[in-house]
Amino acid sequence: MTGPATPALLRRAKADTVAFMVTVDGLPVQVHPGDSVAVAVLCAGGKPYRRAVLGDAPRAPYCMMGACFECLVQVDGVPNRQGCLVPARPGMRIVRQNGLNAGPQEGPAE
Amino acid sequence: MTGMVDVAIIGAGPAGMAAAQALHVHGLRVSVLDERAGPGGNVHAAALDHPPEGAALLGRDYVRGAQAARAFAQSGVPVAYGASVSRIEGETIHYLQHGRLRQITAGRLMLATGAIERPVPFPGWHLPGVMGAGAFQLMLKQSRVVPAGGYVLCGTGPLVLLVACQLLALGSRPLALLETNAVASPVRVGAAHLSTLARNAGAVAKGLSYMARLRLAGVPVISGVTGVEAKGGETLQSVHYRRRDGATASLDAGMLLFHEGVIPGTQLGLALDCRHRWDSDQQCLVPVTDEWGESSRAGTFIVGDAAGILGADAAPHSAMLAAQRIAQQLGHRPDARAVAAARRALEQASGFRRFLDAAYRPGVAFGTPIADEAMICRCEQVTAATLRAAVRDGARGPAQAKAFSRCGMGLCQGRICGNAATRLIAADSGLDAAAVGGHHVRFPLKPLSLAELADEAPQTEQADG
Ligand SMILES: Cc1cc2nc3c(=O)[nH]c(=O)nc-3n(C[C@H](O)[C@@H](O)[C@H](O)COP(=O)(O)OP(=O)(O)OC[C@H]3O[C@@H](n4cnc5c(N)ncnc54)[C@H](O)[C@@H]3O)c2cc1C
Ligand code: FES
Repeated sequence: MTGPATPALLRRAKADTVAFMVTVDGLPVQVHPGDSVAVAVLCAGGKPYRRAVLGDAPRAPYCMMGACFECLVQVDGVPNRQGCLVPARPGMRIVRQNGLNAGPQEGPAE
Repeated sequence: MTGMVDVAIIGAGPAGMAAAQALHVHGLRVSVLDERAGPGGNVHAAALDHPPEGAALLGRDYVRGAQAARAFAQSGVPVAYGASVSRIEGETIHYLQHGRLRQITAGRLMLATGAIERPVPFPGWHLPGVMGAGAFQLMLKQSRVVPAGGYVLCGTGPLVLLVACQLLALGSRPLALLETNAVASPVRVGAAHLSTLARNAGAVAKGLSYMARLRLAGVPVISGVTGVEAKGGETLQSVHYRRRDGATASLDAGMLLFHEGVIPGTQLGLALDCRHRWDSDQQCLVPVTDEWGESSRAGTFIVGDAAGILGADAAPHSAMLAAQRIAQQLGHRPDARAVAAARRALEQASGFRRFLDAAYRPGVAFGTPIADEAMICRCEQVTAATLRAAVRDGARGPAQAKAFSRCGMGLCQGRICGNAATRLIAADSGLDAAAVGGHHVRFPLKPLSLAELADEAPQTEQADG
């Protein structure tokens, strides 16, 4: 389900729902209805969830409720989505944000 | 969803759902907005996604919550999911949904935005692999996932025990539960609250059954833990701590799930300039309201855990009071029996909360000064040492500290560092935390992209969630 990378999470007893696929950094990952994008990335495992712009520091979701902004990720081409609040949908293209490579749009645009 | 309503309710947790239904019964026009994909709030997140057998794994309370969420979904109350409130100006609420800014106008506002886990900075808490135990529980509820490798639960309060039991029910066993309760003998505290405990026998039995299940499963429970530190590189590798006898110890683990209680989520109320006070017992900001939940901003009510932590069972009752008051203000006859019942329930919940607060004291958050190397502001990577230097240079409040050190300047706008920053500045400057105060919160509540700003939908064009 997750390729060669070690997942951070293991699924238990959700056989009662129909799984579907998304991609994380181009690799297929199996997810279930109700999963957030953040869960999809953690199930993909391997590399850190993201790297902060400051010092490339590895970071991962902390609050899962939209408060900490540690789960920022690119979803279907849109950067800086809060992965913990976005439900995974079939075929979604999820790309990890790695420090400055996250693109020029990172940061508030007030 | 229509463009103009009598009451807009922010949050579809137990409080928001109850208020919406009560107002709906009075024939008032209500709209509910929630950032999440469905009803249930934090306590019953993803309630509609589980078939009944799945929900049963998460415990009896969750099953009841799922029923309430289902009843709400069928009640016909208009609600927008995936709708994050961004800005409120007068009676106009601007919210972001599906990448577009939309708006709705409401004569009255009810904030049912719930609680956040108390953010507790300690060295290494920013490493991947360290997260809130409540945060992990949200994933567990939504996705029924467990940590892939060895993990440690750490903290104090009923929620840590509940999460441990929910993990056990999913066939996953923590390496240990590190108890950070600063109260050495909760049982002795219980003796001073006997009548309260008798009146809340169900909740007490629940707590005891959690402990029994942990023991039965052979989870080592280590109490009196202090000096918690997370160490690792790209991700967490080990958890270090001091035992009650002063000896240091460590556990190799890939995840650390930490929890020292919850505090009201005050972001929206602060941005609206509602008056808040510093609760010196719980060391957090709480909104000031009258006995109906109306804040200092007339027409804005704050209910559920957002108004002060009383828990999931109490949340619908404070919401009911606010709903009846609003109905009365709008010329309807309030339901006197519902008001009396809600007041009784809240009184009972307050009594039990006083016991919980006395029996469980967050040892890491309240016990020792924040360690210098702990990263207080995760967004801007500001350590406690840097914030201390700002205080030495004369910073006397979060706003000055922000200017001196960038603490609170990041994307989370002080949600995660604000509480700890106030406590640290108070401790180091000798000022009262009430005088130090909290961060100034400004709209938009979350940063908007330029595309979103350019693309605000007109009033009439609104999508239901
Ligand atoms: C992570 C976590 C886990 C918890 N787990 C439990 C548990 O298992 N058992 C228990 O008894 N208690 C639990 N609690 C305590 C919890 O606060 C409950 O007491 C209960 O959820 C409170 O109900 P409420 O309706 O006041 O708020 P909540 O249930 O928290 O609902 C608030 C809702 O408001 C929404 N919201 C917030 N801000 C905005 C915004 N700007 N725009 C749109 N929507 C917004 C949120 O998405 C959320 O759905 C938990 C708390 C947290 C933080
Ligand atoms: S994990 Fe904190 S905002 Fe998503």
